[in-house]
Amino acid sequence: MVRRNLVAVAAPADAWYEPRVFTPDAVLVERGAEEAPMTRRCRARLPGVPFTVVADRRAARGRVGDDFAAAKRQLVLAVHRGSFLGYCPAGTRGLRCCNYLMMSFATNCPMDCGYCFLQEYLAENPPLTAYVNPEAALAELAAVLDRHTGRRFRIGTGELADSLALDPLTDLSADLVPFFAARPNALLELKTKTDAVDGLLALDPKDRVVVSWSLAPAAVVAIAEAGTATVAARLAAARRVVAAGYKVGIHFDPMIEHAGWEEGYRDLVAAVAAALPPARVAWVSMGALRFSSGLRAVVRRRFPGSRLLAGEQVPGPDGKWRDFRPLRVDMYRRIRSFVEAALPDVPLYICMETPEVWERVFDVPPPGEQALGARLAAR
Amino acid sequence: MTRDELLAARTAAWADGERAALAAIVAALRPSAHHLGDALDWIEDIAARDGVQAASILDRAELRAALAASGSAPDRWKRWKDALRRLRYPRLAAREREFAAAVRALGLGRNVAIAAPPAFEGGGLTITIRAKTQDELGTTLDRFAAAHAAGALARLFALLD
Repeated sequence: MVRRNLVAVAAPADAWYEPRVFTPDAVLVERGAEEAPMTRRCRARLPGVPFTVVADRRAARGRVGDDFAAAKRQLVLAVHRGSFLGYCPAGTRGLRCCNYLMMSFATNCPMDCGYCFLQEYLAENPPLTAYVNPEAALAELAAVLDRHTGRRFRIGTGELADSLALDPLTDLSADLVPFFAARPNALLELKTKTDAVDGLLALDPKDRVVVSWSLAPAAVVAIAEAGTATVAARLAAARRVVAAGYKVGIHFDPMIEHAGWEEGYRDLVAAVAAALPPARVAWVSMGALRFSSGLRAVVRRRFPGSRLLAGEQVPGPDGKWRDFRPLRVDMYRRIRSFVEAALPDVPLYICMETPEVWERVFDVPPPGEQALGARLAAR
Repeated sequence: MTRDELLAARTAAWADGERAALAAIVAALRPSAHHLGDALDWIEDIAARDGVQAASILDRAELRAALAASGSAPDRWKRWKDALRRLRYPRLAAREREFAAAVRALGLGRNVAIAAPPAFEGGGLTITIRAKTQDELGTTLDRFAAAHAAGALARLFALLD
């Protein structure tokens, strides 16, 4: 298990709170990335950490072998040479998606959630890697936005990495927020389980940036989200970014059934509503705990005795294992009722589910993906 | 990986007595490696969920009864694995039983089979009607119409929800 060096202590609701910064054991700099501003910043902010220049980032793999946790404790800085922009994989055929794009500025994450799909997705290339050339990504994105000025885009950076976990080292947000603030047809979503928001506070997002937190009851965080900020710390951070002019997104994803889950989610929604003005909540999503068969095998190996696999999960049409449908529809409905009561008028949607499930939960057919995406992008 | 290799690998961290108990079951019922893998997953999941050791699961009355039943090894393995599945998926198994009871309560006869989607996941009901004659088909359809008029089919769809 990764050492709890990111954030792990409870924060009283209104207490002054200092996030702790992730400190890798070592940094490997791929040749060509040595002089990048991001590399220099990391070097300056990690004075006690050894930096080694390597010819090829694959050297990092050699150091950690198949130890996924060890791969999270060394940081690779490299130039990304491919495309940064892609469609969110939630748009699997047969599932209702929300027309979301993703940009990958990093891969892997210093936290170690037991359900995380990266355990399987990055199994062949696990070292925590940050790309030092965000200017190339923003040039790629600018070309797309300029070609489609009539379309509104929602773009997230939290698919293959936590959006903010490395920000205290990389200052990536200082590049991203001003870029999106100047783009009327794009909305940036930064998804995180940290409270590392200091880098955002002095920037003006001009309502073009949503900072989102994935939230689960404390009982779930305790068994499944090693190294993440506590729920209280996440909500304290959310309050700070709201005060700085950002909107906030909330993702109850994955929803995890556990003893007392209904009270847990009810109290969690109430805590969100107490912490945040509904007008500043851009959206709330729900998603079931889900595993590919391969991920189940990885979790079984990495976390023997994990209760995450012990739910009544069955394979669905997309091959992913979820709690069997009546169970999760019941969870969706109950959480929906909590959200609608506590956060009226905040858009609520479901991620990676079939239209049949959506209709059972909301009693109406799901909107088309363009319509749903546009509705969320307009927030 | 062979059945024996799988058994050895997956039970390496078990207590000797637990490993021996499962090995005796495997020796008696001779499941394939694939089926044994399912059973090992389910035993681990039940243990994690209920906070118990494998030995107490293997000692459950349902499993002992399936092991002690008469019949061929494959038949007994099927019974044993079904019993283990009911322990692993108690609410799903209960819903499957409810569904089967609701189908029987319709009284549509042996020429009709109504199946829920596997594990109630996706899709709708699959209804199969067998008929050797037009009259036989007509009788079955009349029974269906009567069940529909009485609202009896609604129970099946409610169980999919």
